[in-house]
Amino acid sequence: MHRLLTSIEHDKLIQLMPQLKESLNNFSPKRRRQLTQTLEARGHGTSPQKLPAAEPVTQRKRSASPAHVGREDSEVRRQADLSAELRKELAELSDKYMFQWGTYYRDTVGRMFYLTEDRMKQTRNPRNVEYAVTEEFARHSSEIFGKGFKYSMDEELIDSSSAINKSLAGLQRFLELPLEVYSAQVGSVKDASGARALRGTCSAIIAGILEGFGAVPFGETYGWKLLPQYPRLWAHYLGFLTGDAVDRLESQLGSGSIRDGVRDSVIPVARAIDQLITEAQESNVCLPGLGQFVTNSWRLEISLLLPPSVDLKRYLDIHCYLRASTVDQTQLTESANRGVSLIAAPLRADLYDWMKANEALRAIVVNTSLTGNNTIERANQRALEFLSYEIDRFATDANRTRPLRYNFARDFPLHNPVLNTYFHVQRTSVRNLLRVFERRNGVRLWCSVRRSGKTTATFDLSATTGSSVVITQTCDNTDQVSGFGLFYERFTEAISQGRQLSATFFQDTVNQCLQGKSGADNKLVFVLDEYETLFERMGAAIRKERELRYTVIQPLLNQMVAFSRQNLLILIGQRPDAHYIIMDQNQLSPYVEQDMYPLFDHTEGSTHSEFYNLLGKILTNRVTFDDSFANAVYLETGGHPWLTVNLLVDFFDWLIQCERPVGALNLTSEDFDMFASVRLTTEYIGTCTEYLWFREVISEALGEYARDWTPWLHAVYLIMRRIIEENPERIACSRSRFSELVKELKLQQNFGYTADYILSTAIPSNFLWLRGDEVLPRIRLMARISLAAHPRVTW
Amino acid sequence: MFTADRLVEVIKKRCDGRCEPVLVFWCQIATNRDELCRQIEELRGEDNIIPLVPRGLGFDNPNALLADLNRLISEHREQFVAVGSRATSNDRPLALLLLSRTEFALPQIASLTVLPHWFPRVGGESVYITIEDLTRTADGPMNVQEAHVSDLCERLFKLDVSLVRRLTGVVRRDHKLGNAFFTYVRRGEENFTGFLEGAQTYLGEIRNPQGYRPSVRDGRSLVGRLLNLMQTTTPDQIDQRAKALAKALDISEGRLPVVNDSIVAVILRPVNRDTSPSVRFARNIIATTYSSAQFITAAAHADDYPSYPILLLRSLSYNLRTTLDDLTQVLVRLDNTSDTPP
Repeated sequence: MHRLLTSIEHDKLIQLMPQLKESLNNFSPKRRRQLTQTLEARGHGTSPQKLPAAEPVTQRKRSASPAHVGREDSEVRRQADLSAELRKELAELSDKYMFQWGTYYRDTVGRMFYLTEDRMKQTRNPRNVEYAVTEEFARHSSEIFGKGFKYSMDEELIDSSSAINKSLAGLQRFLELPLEVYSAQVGSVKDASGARALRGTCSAIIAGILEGFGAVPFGETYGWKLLPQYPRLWAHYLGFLTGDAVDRLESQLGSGSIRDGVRDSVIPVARAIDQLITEAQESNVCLPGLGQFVTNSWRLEISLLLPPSVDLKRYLDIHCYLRASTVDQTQLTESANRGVSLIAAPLRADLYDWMKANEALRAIVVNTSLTGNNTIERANQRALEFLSYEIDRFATDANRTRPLRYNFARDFPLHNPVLNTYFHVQRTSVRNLLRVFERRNGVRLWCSVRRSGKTTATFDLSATTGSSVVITQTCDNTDQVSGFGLFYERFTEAISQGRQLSATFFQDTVNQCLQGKSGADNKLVFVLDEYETLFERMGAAIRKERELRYTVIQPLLNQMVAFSRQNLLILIGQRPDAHYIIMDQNQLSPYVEQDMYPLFDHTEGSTHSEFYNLLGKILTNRVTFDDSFANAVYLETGGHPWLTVNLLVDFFDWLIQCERPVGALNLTSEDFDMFASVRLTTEYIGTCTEYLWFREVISEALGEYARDWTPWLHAVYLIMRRIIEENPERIACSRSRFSELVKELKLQQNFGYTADYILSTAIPSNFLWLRGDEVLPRIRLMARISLAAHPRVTW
Repeated sequence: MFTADRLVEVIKKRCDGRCEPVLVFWCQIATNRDELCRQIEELRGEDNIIPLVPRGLGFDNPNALLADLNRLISEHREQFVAVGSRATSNDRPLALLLLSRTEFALPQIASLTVLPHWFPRVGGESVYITIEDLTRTADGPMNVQEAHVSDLCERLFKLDVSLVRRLTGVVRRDHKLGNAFFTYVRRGEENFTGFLEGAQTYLGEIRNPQGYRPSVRDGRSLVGRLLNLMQTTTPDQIDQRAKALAKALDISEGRLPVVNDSIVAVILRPVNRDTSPSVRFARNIIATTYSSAQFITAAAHADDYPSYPILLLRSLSYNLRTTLDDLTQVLVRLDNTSDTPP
């Protein structure tokens, strides 16, 4: 209705005024009041929004000149072409590559995103393009989720709630795709028109996916009824929708708190962001960079990425509270203490009075409770005022000679998996590794150092490639992505029950893990992350109850071998030796072949490598760097993502300490060398908080408990430590010296590890590296940390 | 081993000044764990302490340590939600206490885990948590209840009484036997018999043996003199002093039962082996009375000293008390057998 009221021609609106007013009586009081205001505003000839209303092409034709008509026709044609192109591509996905998020969907959505964005930049009616794109995506989304649910119910014969859970997991993956493309570009938007096109495109696709899902019948319920029950899965995308898109979404959502919250608190803010972009002066545009939904307090957090000219701060934070019952004094104070620029919240009368008496809060809180004179438009206006003021305040502070004060690298969300989506780097190197083996059978082992991006890359693999279906599972306990722990759950159930394992246990479980992917005719690639947990649990179970060896463990290992004869099994973890259990009758271990797992790849001079992209995401658009800087950082971290972030956070702290002017942030290897001379010393690394986690983990690995429990890891860290201890400058030793070190550390005597065995397992696991006749740590920074870490004193 | 109030006290102390949102503790418990949970919940007051009982599979695999913790948290969601609002409104960490039947002896090398989205303050974030085993690390001041300082005082008192009685008996039989020992502990012109009579009178005046604290400065008690002896003697000289005490006690080698050295006596062991069992017995008396008296004095001034693991204080106190008790029993038996004609 809102769209109708804002887009209908004025004459027609006056003509239909009585009927429209009558129709409004069917809406709820709050909504009616809001729509009546919109109607009256249009009736008096003013538009309630600053954004131009969508202009139906047919209506505009009437008053246009012949030249104008020609241009309009060509606009219509181009829009029709875009719709046709999208429909064709989406139809192909639906027919051939349904739910293959990590591969075909990612590529196609990326292509369609850029196509739409270009079109948006060229058109004079971007809203028409938005509607068209939304419509195509809604149609597709509705079609695939409908088909997926039907398949789960009719073919897989699973219960309705499990089928719904699968659909919700798919929705999450689908929504991530446009965000990925958006996040890759948002830092480099140069002007207001580019910003409008980027936001409009992202909004149109996300809105389409959600609207399509909403329309799907899931047994006795509908998508629109399901969405309010699971706001955690999609509400964080609201900040990336335009005001119109949020409005449309809200009008279709099932009734409940979330719908009211979206209407009252999100729409005004989304419109304010739209207006900020429309009114932006050239390159001073602000776009949402991050979005997060905090379920405990029903708070939507939107971080507006400030323009590069602002050096004091990277984001302006906005908190939208969606439920009056979860806002209290503590919440508001907490938001204010976090330096939030705008809080949009429905406030109860007493809380409102309290807020008004608080000077700091008064300047940032917009009461979105639709009581008294409050309207969405008023809240929208206030939100815009607050945000404009904040942006101006920071922009005028900008001074290129002022010393750097803000650590931009610290914004990289190492600990927040939700925000990680916005910083995601595509790992083509891992996909390529899979391509090498996907046509083969057997058991492959991919090991790498902790926090080297294995899990993230593994989840990206969960799609079909060519003629194979990739199934990704993890033995880690996490509720991040539903369905990925299914295999491990079934295994622990089998251990708890202790009954004889059915002959088809493994295959049945794999089939359950397929989650609607058609795998009957294809070869399966079963990827198991955190595989050590599975085998160590097997070992622990046998120690507790010997009988389990014969009822569960051995049959399962045999079934895994049988599976690998026709399919591919990939085990992913940190240690290559975890599968060596019950060796007298372990049928699986002889088939296991370890491959070299890639860290973020990079070659000197490359500006499109995975590592180069990662650096760009960490350093942000406020900092430029040349090849020599990228090469120097790569030499130190070896492309290990976590340690690269740690190192660069410390690098920024060093720049701040050196009072580097914000106008001189063009980084080269000279900067890195200066940093390294003071910050990459054992003394400094031993106390630097950025490396705390790795220091703790390595201290444990060097301790006595690890010697008993994880001897391989213990041995590898021991030898890495000795290499850097003996050669602190070169951080390498000759191969012959390496063999001597193995003897001196009694690794063969104590654990049975020869020098060759350690090299052949630690090199593909990214612990060590062989360069000519030299053995060196793969990640120099990790070797430095191992030297600074003290072996844990054990009980 | 620990009571509910001790655990609450230790955890509260651990939480003071900590900025981490979550702290996790482990404690091996042999008693009824559910009952202990209930008591802790009653005693925790405003602190965000959540006691949990891990059951079934888990916590036996270093790689899955944090995943197991995450699973346990998910199984007890109600408890977290109940404490959640309080946890978000104050700065105190959320302290999880895992009450287990088994000891915790795993390397903490697990990867980070993502906490459930409903978890207070850090829901949905990946965290690395180190689990601290309170069974071994729970600490307290020297006068902590588990150190049983009053019992230590009483047993030191009993040994003092037995020593004075034995030395008095020996001096009555042969006054020469005590001369060598007395030269080491004499003050001024006093004689041995006079000192022993004074010591006996002093001990008779003690009304509360559980608060017994021998004074070096007054020097009225034998233990006080032994304490002074130890403080003014180099490790190499102890052997001579021990020989003199053994002679003064008139210990017959053949009738001396084995008494285990206290741990402090072993740590202060001489460079050369003790020349006889009676000398070793006497050295054990000197070292054990010295360390017991020091323990008691340090406990009386507990604020001046650091905290130590309760397990250590308890074990040391136990070792000292059992040694004092064994030494006393031997002296009493020696007295009885000496009084009885062969």
